[in-house]
Amino acid sequence: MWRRTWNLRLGALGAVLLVVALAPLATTRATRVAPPEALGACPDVASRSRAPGGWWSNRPVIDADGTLRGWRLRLGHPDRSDRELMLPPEAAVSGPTAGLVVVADDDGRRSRIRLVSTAAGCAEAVLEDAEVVRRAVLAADEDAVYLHLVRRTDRADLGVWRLATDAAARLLRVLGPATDEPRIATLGPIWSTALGLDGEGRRLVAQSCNPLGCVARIVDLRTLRTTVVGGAGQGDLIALVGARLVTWASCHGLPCAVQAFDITTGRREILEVAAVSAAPFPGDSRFVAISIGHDDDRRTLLVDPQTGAARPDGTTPASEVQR
Amino acid sequence: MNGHRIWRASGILAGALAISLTAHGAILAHGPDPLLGGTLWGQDQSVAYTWRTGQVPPTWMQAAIDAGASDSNASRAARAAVLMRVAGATSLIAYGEPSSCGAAGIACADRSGAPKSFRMWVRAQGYMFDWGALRWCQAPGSNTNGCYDAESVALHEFGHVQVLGHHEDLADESDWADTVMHTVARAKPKAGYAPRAYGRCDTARLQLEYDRRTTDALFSSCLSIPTTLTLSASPSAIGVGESVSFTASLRTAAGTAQRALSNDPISGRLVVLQRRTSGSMAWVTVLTMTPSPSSDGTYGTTWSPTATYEWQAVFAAPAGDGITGSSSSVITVTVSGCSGLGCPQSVDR
Repeated sequence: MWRRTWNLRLGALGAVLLVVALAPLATTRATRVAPPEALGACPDVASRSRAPGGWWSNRPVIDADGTLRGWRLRLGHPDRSDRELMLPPEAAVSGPTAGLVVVADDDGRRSRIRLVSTAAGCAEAVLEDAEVVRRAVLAADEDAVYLHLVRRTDRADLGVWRLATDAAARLLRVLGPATDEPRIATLGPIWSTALGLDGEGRRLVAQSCNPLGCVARIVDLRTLRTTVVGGAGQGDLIALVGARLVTWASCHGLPCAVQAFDITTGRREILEVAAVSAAPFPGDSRFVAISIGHDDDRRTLLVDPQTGAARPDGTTPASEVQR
Repeated sequence: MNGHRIWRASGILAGALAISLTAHGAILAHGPDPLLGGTLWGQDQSVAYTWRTGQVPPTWMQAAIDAGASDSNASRAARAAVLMRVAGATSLIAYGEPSSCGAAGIACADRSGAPKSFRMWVRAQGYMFDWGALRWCQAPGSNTNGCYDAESVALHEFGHVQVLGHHEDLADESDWADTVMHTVARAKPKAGYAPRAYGRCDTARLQLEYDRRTTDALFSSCLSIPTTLTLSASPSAIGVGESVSFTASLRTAAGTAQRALSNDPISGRLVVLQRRTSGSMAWVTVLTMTPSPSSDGTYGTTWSPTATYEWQAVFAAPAGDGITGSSSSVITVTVSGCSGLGCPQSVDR
């Protein structure tokens, strides 16, 4: 058996311990070259500024022997100086959603989830748990965090849960363990699980992957009705756009095909045969940005997964489209 | 603890692959690795790589990657790219994040820059997957069950760089040693977790795309390339006591299926010359033809037949050579200038 504890206020107190040397810094973009500040605590992050424009980057910290010792998370916002957070090797970051970044980390004994306001430069812990949080994403309306858990003792999949961000902080399971889904069980042991939300925030994708392929479970968050798409040949999740689940092919190398699955029929269409990067298009959630070509001749296309129609993107530098 | 999970999982995964492929009706006969795609390197092109600034591998990983490159060079059995580490090279290998590897990858490569450059990424020791922390066998204190062999993983990635896609393993994994291009690597201590050379179905694809290194080199036994054999005699009509020069030419069949191996001369094989009397079905082997020292795939001999015979050249492919046997068309060498009982019409030499 495993025990779960979570407490919004207690988590905030824990975050206070992370406050180190909050030196006042100018808040212009030019200050980015200055050493970043540590992250402060804000007991009620949901009431803080939601100013858009936040960003984060996560760099590994590797020791002289080549072992990953953790991650150096840098959080920024145009209105204030950067913040920095050291994370352990087992950590996941997502967002920003409405100005909030979700940070999940595990110290080997407990996992926690923090919501970070890049604009306010502070964080609030919203969950502590004895099991291991592998991924966490914030719903578009900010009323819940969806998280994927594995059991600490044997890393067994414990499913996907919904953590309400209100004071009640209720935790409800929205998807069972991946192994309960026959198509995932057929695929074999899972190496990685991705969580994503569609552009409207109405559906959640939990994609279970191993080197052979991926199976995506798509949950309608209003009805909890689940649709299963994929198997061998499906690669990493890119986006859920309307009735299309856009993923990489199962390549483990580049270039690689980008494909769209009809979530009703499971039918697969190739959107681009030889892509080198792909991501949801930030300017319009109906599109994905796909880059093709190599360094000297890289081009970015905006592709409508519903129709497969593609047009050159004149706004997004190819270097900003990440795998 | 994770080690046991990893290698046990890989076996299960391979089984799952076979099930999945069967379900789609797409399981293929055992054969050369599929193509990864993109432009080929030039034949025997020297391709230099170096470490990506800011993501330089630790010393033990550098040694493993360099060894993997050496393994590729030594075992390519084809005119595939020759890999070497050179300072300032444009092809970059990175350790740790950021990488372009999929979420379930321990290493990956990008050959979209071929024939100019490639990229490779290797995940760091301690990277966390759902099943636990990645461990490389070459890392200090990490050579225990469940670790992954960095040298063979590097060889695998260099296989991608060359042009090799993932091999479609047989359901029972009986072909495991035929390739290093498995979708899921095995972890220590499972048999075959640390290969040091391309398998025969890897070299098969490399030969198909880049050709063999020499015309007398063996074809990968993962191939079954048809051959053609021609035979000519000069002159084709002689008098008793005169000599005929027989010349045979052994080549692979011409055709797109043979790719770079199409119409390749085949040297260094055994080609025999046979004869029969007209109307007979029984061939008699006369001799083994001599390989030409100056013309690839050509075999010759000089003979003084004492009677008119039909002649053919025959090539029987030896075991372990990935080509099929062939026979030439039948030619007739007419011997004249003698008549009556004194002629040695029925004398076999």
